[in-house]
Amino acid sequence: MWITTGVSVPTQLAPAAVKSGHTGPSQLRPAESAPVETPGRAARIRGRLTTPRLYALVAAGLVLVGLAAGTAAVAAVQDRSGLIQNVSGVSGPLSVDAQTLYRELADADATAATAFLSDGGESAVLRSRYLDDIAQASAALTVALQYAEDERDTESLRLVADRLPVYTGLVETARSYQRLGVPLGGAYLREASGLMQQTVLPEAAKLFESAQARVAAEQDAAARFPWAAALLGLVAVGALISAQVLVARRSRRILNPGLVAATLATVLALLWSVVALSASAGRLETGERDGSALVSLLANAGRASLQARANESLTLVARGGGAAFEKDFAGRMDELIGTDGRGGLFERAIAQAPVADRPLISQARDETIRWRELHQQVRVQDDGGDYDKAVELATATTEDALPAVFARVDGALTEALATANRRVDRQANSADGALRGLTAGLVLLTVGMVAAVVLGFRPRIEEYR
Amino acid sequence: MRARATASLVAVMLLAAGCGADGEQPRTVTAGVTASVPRPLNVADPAAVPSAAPAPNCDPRASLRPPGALPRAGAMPAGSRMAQIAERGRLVVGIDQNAYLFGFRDPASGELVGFEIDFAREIARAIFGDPSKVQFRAITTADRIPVLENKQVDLVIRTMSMTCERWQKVSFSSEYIASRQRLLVRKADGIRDFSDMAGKKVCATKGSTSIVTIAEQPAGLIPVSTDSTLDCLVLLQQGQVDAVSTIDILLAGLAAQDPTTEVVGHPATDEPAGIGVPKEHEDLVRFVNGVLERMRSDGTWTRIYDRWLRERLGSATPPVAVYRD
Repeated sequence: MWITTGVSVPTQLAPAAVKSGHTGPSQLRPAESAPVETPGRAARIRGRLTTPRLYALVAAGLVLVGLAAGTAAVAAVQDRSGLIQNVSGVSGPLSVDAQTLYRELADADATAATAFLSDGGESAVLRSRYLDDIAQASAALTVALQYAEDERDTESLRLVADRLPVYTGLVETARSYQRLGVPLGGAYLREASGLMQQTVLPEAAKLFESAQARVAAEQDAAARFPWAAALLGLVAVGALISAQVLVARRSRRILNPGLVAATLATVLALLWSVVALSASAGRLETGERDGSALVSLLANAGRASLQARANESLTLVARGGGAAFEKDFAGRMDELIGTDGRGGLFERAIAQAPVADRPLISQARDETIRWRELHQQVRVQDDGGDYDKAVELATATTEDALPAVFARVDGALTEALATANRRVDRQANSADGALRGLTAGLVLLTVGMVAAVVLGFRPRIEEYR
Repeated sequence: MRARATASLVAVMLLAAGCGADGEQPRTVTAGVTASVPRPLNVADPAAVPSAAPAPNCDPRASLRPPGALPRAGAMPAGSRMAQIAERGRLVVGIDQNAYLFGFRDPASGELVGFEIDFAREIARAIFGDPSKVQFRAITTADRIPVLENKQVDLVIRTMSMTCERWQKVSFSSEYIASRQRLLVRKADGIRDFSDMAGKKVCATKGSTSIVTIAEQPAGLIPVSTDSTLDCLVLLQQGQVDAVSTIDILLAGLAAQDPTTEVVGHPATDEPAGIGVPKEHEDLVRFVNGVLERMRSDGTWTRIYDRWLRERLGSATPPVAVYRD
């Protein structure tokens, strides 16, 4: 900032000198060799500075300001570009990875419980789905462990990695007893599900929240207005204009072509930066609003629906002792669609989603409402004592039966989530695209501005040789 | 002077380098890690011991005397509770679906089977002439009395101990199987009785009289409670408790699921099991007692017992019915 004062002080002093009866700017030359007795700072500066020296000083100041503004702008653009590329290249994929861990664990739990309901041998489809869930969760866990930086994330990952083999062990024990036909299998399954829902899933949720927070923080940081670079740019423009006023007053030439060119280059650089960075920030904000914020809501809705499915199955597996699971199911449903079907995570997701995504999310919501109705029918049968009928309703394979309705909820949510994830990536790429060429442009304009200043001042300075 | 300064500088640098090297050492994250032990849901360790309510004085086995002759199946006396059930077309019975050998699902057929299920079918046969006209309703231990009080079921056949306290709220049939509270332990542990278990953990269901009995043992046992006896077996298998203690007939059902366990210990209590009937339906109590008498005398009781329990509990004779009028 002191450079600014250094430059503007002489220009402000010049008219003051005229008013106070001293020699004008052009008449300063003859007087410069004479000793000047006038006390005060202005006089001392005037006394020490010859015009060519003043010009040289001003030119040097302008070059410095120009270089500072150019460097700051390039640094800001590079910084933003780096953050944006991180969103699409690192934190975005890591967030998808955390979603995978979160989802597959919840899916494994729901699938294991549902597989228990089929009489006379387990369903091969459900068995392979469970195995795939565990394989994908383990793969996601490995990737997450590799990239974990945060102390809390590492601790959560350690807990998940520690409990996952215990969980699968309990599920396999449950299967063995189930095959032997003894009720102990159900007890092991309940223990496994308790471990998953009360210990493992909350840790996976923490990891997911933390990954989401990282994406959002990078989106915010990359969308922030670069105040320092913008201020330096404005200072550079101000300094150039002041310099022209100074030169005009001292040389009676209205326009110095070099300084005009330098001013134009600086203004162009400033405008280009503001437009490109604003466009980039706008796209990032879209990516955050329609992307990552929606991803959080949809991923949680997916988890809640899978937990509801697990509890629904466990209520039947518990065979008369499932009141706690039924209560949990009701809680998850309220979390998803509210008590009246017009609230909860779905309502918030629909409000958050861009218009194009809404039909799919609405479809998932309507299917969830239908699911709750079908669940009531199952409960009426089971509570009325007709366990066989309840299981039949809960495992029927027709298109309008409960498993198909749940599959459609799950399918629609998964698709909506994939769309939102793609949007985070696409908006980040597009935000980066807005900055394309800006760095090179800023470098060239800065060089041009410096050259124009030098070229503009050199003839004026040489006039005095 | 200069040499000393250089020496101290070198010393400081070495020290700094040493500190840096310390910080670079890999953390030994595996050092304190131990296995995590999962737990069934809702385990209380130690369990809250319910205070034993002052029981009214009575003979818990004494039920109502059956009529001289049972009405023929399909011809229940008009206006009786049995006639209402016949009218409805099915007998509603509260049972346990998770008690191996007593009431459980045959995984091959999906059908409910077991000792108590057969008793329900015999009573249905006596009313309808058809053992299949039963609607089973799975209920929890805690539900047994409320479903009778609210008449949501006609009968409860769910190893329900006859106690003077319960006689205040519901009626019981005559005793259909005798039971005593004992211990289920791992064979390898060499535990023979309650007295071997000082300071050890013993599991039973929450709020049950078994918890009180465990807490009252002179050896000083630590009661642990769960939602079901099956969860207790899980804890025993995982080494989180050293014994399960409830009535021996249920323990036999647990032992049948894990051959490395056995039932031991002197009988700590005497708990006759009766069929629960709503207090108001005295005619149904007498009718059920008539059916039980017939099962005792014609060998049906022994046939059902032998089918499900003899292999586990040894041969037995039907308990002798006691009546008060």
